Amino acid sequence: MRQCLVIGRPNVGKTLLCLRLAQACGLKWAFIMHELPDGAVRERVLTIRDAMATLVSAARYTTVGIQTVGVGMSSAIGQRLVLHDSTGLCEDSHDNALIRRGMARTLTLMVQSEQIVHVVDATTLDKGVLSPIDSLIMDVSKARDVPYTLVFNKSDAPGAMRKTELYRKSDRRTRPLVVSALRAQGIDDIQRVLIRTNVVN
Amino acid sequence: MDPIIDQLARGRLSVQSSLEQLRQAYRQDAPRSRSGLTRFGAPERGDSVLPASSPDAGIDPVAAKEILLRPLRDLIGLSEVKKVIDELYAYLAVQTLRRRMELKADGTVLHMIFAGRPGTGKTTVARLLGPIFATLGVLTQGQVVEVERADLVGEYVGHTAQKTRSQLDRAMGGVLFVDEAYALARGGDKDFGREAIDTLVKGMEDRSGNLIVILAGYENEMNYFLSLNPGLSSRFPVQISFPDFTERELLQIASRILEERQYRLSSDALSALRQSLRSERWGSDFGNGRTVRNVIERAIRRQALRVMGCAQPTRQDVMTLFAADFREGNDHAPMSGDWPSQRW
Repeated sequence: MRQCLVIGRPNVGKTLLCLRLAQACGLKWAFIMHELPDGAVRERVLTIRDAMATLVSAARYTTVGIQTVGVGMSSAIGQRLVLHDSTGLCEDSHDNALIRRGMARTLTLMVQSEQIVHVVDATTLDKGVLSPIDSLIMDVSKARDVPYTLVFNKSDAPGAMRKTELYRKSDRRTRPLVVSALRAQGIDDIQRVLIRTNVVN
Repeated sequence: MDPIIDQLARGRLSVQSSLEQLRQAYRQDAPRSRSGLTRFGAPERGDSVLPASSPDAGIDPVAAKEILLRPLRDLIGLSEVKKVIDELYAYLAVQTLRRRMELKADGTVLHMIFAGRPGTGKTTVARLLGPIFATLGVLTQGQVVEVERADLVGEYVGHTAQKTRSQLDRAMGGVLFVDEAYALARGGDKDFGREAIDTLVKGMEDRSGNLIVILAGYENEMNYFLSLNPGLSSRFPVQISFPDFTERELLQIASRILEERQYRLSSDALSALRQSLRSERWGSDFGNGRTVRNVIERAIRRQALRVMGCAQPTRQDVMTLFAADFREGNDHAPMSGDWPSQRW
């Protein structure tokens, strides 16, 4: 079972994206392993709709610790994929030990996982440039030489498309996928990438 | 990788710098796995005993304090100076930590004035400060460039600025120590010294952050010098005064010099040394630590003359300084009382 890490800054929509992916794969139920920052593990099976209601919110740091969402890819592949939904990485919550440990765990997964999906809030792109943390995440992932996908979320928000265009002009090597997890647009693109990189042989 | 993540979990590293270090770790890993190069292929510097929080993060300024400040602590006397530098160190260490944790760290101006009579340790302290600042990351190189009036002031119009600027360039990334700085203002309005001061001030502003200028000189003359140019005083926020050594401290210095050179004092030589220092002390050209060294060196020369007169000098003869060696005029032969007793 391949481990795929969904990484990004807080409140970019990592959790919702994971659930949307599960939904796109035809799952009605999500098997969610909740790994709390203190190391305890809680397992829950929720319907996708319930999961979206309970796990997703507009506040920052809805996800503390790692939520692992098992996503059954289509059975034709024969290999399953586990999405690790991680704590957002950001600087200004440094005084909170729980979140800090969650972030440390995220970095551990970043070093270990076999695939990285990097989620960026398209509305926060400044003049078509990634924030320092985001560009570092990108650099580390590329340095690790594992399959890396850059995802621009929140494409439905005003200004997002214009900023995405600016980014595309400045960085021609990385081709970001543009999605809106809220409207469930563009999810199939990510799904296709995940299937392609996970095909055995 | 694990230590980096561990540091993040403990709140020692910011997210950004831990990601940065992870990236560097991968960069360095790559060539190693291919060509078998070690990660620390470069020759290590002598101060490798400094406790590093991780190979890439530089030293931990709190833990390294004892090691960094030890040479300064070992100096005799100068308790005021040590206190001021302790304060400075604490401040700089915290700023370094803050920078590492991605908090705002203000770049303070650290230009200093060392005021004190000659031989009170100004140059010695300045030489020690360079490496300390470099280790704390305030300066990039930490070299100490010692200059005086002749190095800064030129001979014709336009020469001065050029000379001063070249000295500033030499000191870039380190400390520029201007000895007897008041001499720059000595010659009056027409003197090129003024130009040197102006160039110096200009250069300090331009290069602030990676250059520390230390002006040294006698207390009274330095006060006069600062009063001449109203902008100067505010540009040198750290003013350290070096008091004269007390008699006790002078004797401690003497015994350290003797120890280093492997000489001993006979029982009465100590009082002779004290007397000799006391008489020097009232002289106008008393140079504190430097005078102590001169007094001892003179005694060593006299002892050498005396030993040459002996038929078969023993190890003890060659090592021992008598009271007579410290007195002006070598007029009496060593007597039994001059020999070292068991107590000394």
